[in-house]
Amino acid sequence: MPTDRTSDAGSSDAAPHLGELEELVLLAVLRLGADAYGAALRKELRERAGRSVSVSTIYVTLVRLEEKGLVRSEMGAPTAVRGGRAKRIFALTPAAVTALEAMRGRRERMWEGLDDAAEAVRRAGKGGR
Amino acid sequence: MRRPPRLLEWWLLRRLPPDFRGAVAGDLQEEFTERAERSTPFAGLRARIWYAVQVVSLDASALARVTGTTNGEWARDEGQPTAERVTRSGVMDMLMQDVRYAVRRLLKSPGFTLVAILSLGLGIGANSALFTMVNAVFRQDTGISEPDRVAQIYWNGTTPYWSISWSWYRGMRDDLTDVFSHTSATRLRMARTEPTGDALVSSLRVSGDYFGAIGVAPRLGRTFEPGAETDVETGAAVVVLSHDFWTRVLAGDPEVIGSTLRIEATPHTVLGVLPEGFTGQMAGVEVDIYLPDFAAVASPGTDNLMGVVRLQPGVSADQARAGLARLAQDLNVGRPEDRTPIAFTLVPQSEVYVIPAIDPIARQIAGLLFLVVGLVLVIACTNLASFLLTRAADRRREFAVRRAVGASRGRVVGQLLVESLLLAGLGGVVGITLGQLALNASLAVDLPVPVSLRLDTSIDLFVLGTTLGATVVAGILFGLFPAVTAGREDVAPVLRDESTGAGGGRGKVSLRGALVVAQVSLSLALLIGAGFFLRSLLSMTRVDPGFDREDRAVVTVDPGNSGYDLAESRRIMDDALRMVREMPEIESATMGNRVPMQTWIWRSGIRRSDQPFTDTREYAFPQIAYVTDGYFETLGIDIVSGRPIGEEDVAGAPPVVVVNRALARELWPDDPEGAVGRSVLLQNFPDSVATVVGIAPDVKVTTLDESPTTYMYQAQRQVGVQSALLVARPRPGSGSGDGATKALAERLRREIKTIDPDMYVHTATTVETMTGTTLFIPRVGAALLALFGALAVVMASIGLYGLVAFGVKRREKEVGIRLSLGADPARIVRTMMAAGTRLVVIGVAIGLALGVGAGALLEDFLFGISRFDPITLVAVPLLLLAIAVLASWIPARRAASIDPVESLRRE
Repeated sequence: MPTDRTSDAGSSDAAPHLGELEELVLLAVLRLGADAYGAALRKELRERAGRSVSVSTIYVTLVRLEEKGLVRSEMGAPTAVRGGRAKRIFALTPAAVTALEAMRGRRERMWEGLDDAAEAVRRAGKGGR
Repeated sequence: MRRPPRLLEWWLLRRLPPDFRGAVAGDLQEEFTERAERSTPFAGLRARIWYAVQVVSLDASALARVTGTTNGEWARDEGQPTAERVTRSGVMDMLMQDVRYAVRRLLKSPGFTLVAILSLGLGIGANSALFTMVNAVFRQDTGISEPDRVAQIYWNGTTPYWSISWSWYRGMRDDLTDVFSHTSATRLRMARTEPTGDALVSSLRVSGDYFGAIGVAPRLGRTFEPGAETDVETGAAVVVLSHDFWTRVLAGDPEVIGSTLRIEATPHTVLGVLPEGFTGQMAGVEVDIYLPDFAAVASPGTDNLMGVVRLQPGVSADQARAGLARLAQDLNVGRPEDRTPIAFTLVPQSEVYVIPAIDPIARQIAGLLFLVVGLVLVIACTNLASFLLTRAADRRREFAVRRAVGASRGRVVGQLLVESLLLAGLGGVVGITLGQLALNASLAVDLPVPVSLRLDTSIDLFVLGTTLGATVVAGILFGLFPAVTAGREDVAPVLRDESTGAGGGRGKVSLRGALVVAQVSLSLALLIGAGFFLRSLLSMTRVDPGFDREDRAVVTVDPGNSGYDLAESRRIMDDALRMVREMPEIESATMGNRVPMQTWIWRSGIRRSDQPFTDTREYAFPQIAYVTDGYFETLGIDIVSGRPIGEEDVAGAPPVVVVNRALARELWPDDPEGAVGRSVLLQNFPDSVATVVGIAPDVKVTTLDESPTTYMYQAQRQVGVQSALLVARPRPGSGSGDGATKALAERLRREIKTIDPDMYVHTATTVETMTGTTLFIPRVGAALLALFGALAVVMASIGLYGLVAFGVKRREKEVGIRLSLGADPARIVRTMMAAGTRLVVIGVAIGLALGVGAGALLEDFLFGISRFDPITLVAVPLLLLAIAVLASWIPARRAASIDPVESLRRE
């Protein structure tokens, strides 16, 4: 399971660190809004991020995020297509938005001014052939 | 709206933590519905498979961990301590728990489980199919009452089990009433009935009191009055139907008694229907209708009868034989000296399997089949055993933990037993399915025998029970072995994972090794058998039978049984031959009563006319065929000298005969080449001297490995033949191959029927099919043994693979250390393979010995090779060796790719 357990030491942000899958799941919850439940989230991750995630994994991740106070959940209305079972609908807490923004900020700071260098490496790789 | 499979859903719900049931099960159902309603092919099936994979792979324990609960069994009464539950709900609940657990264990390694169930299923299926088939022939309940008192009677003439004549039968009937309470004579003939048309049915023509002798009461109506056939003048045309004919052809018409059935050209009154399952004295040979044998009464010379009698109560078989010997003595008085003396053979019905003449070979084949079946069963059991041992070795830690936390040995053993039984049960289900499929397929095989066989091919429950029982016993034995050792084992070292060395696991490994040796040797023995048959088949196809078998179409023209007299029959047969010869695609055509290498033997006497007769032994008894002009040309037989039977050899012309080289040598040992033009006396032309007009080469007559057999050809038009084969050879380029030739035969049949639509023209086939009997046994033998041999090799390879893979896994740490110290990976692979290779070599050695032993059993079936055939005995073991080395190389290779750091980090 891709849970990143490296410590946050050295990070200037106060927001909790997110594992890659956690980050992707949170973004999917944000994107789906009122329709963020297990099956839809798995579909979103599969189609947008190319990540195939099993049922147990998605729920384990969501439960962990709930424990961290990043998502909350409530039961939706039962539907026929689900055999009369209710959806467990997830939503982000403000802390999650802070954490996502912090991740994005970290990443963008690291990327600053690196586009040219990356391009140079790519060209060198092709030239070497 | 689609529903996922209920059982899977139920199982899913039981495993999920309560908080998640709705959410997870709902999610899966939603996606299931979406997948099932796609328009791709097999969407429903694929959705089910997807659902099953999701449920099986669902990691419920991970969900349980994060939700803070440690008990994985959510479905239970929560918070109830386990011990209390057991005392409360008792053994049944414990058993259910074991079953659930077993299912989960089996699903956890689906590949292995599938292989185990499939191999068990194949073993059980093959077994029950073969068993059932052999059973159908040999132990069929014939429906004969008091079979101990029933016997068959033959003439012990030129060959044993020769048929008897009507006048001898009459002697038994009238003079032996002290030993026989009922006597009858029967002969099997094909017949045409109106509802079945040219699809001939088999009819048993019976004389005397057949139904009294065989002891069967009709299900409907009545059977013949004893001796009804003797009233030839006023005898009514009556028929008794078999149950099968009644239900199959007449749809079980309840009003059938007294109705009219047209047989040949005559309306017959239906007297009765026999009970279901009655097969008469020839087990497995289908008789559709029973007719009184008026023809035999009308011509007392009829000599193709089989005697069926019922002994008087209290009379032994030997007393009956003594009575028959008395009768033979009387009959021999005044019998012409040039005839073989009469002597009878009495065979009690209880000693008859099919018919006495072919029983020895049938028994041999059945013995062989049982041997193969037994081997396959042993292999299936060893496979199950090695499967269970492998699992047990993998699970030593689990057992140790269970013991450590207080599980009794009985509990652990019970758990393993449940797993074994579950496997055996699933294997049984697969086995029944496969067995029934195999049986249905075997019925579709076109047997090269002249009668239709009826075999009861529903799987015999006793057979199934036996095979299933054997696997269950094997499962229990081998399931218990690890359980018992697991119970005995010292828990602590296993838990500390200290026994990965050569310690505790050794015993199990060597047992598994023994199983691999057994599997390799048995599969080699089977493959060697297959090799023997294959090589026999190859040498058979290389033998030149002396005539052309390929691309010759055959139909039977039978005006004699269609109501024509001899003169009309001759005219019709000539017309048919002319018609066929005029067809543009026909190069040549001929008629004859037989072609060489059909299964039956038919002999007649011939002797030189220039020697005085002293003894019956002066007669030569070659096989005989009645042929027309064009016979040799059409079958590609080149006359050696003189001329073939020609158009001029008709009734009234001087009788002629063509002898083969072997017969010429026997009759004129001093001058066989000068046979042409010599005079001979023919047993079937007692009043005239015949002339040898030609010498034919020696062709194979019954089998391919026979030494030259004496044979003579007489002119069909000079004897009273009213039914014959018409053989035609197509022009080159007008289609060849068995299919095209068969189609041609069917065209011939339709063409000839234009002469008279009511005339019998039947059995459109090819010479190749008619003469295929000799190839049948090696063909079936090779196919059967190759199939089971391949099956056995697959099983042995799996066993070997598992063994080597297990060894690699066990020694992972050691290999890691060696690799980190710079050991050569290739050498490590070799070391890992060594154990497997040693077992294979032992197995091959044993298998080779078994194979040579098998050769002794197969000797009678071998053709053109010895049972020490070097090619088979070298090539097959080499092939197996190569497969086995590959099977151990694949897992051994993994050892080289072990990451030393990873393997050591696991400490």
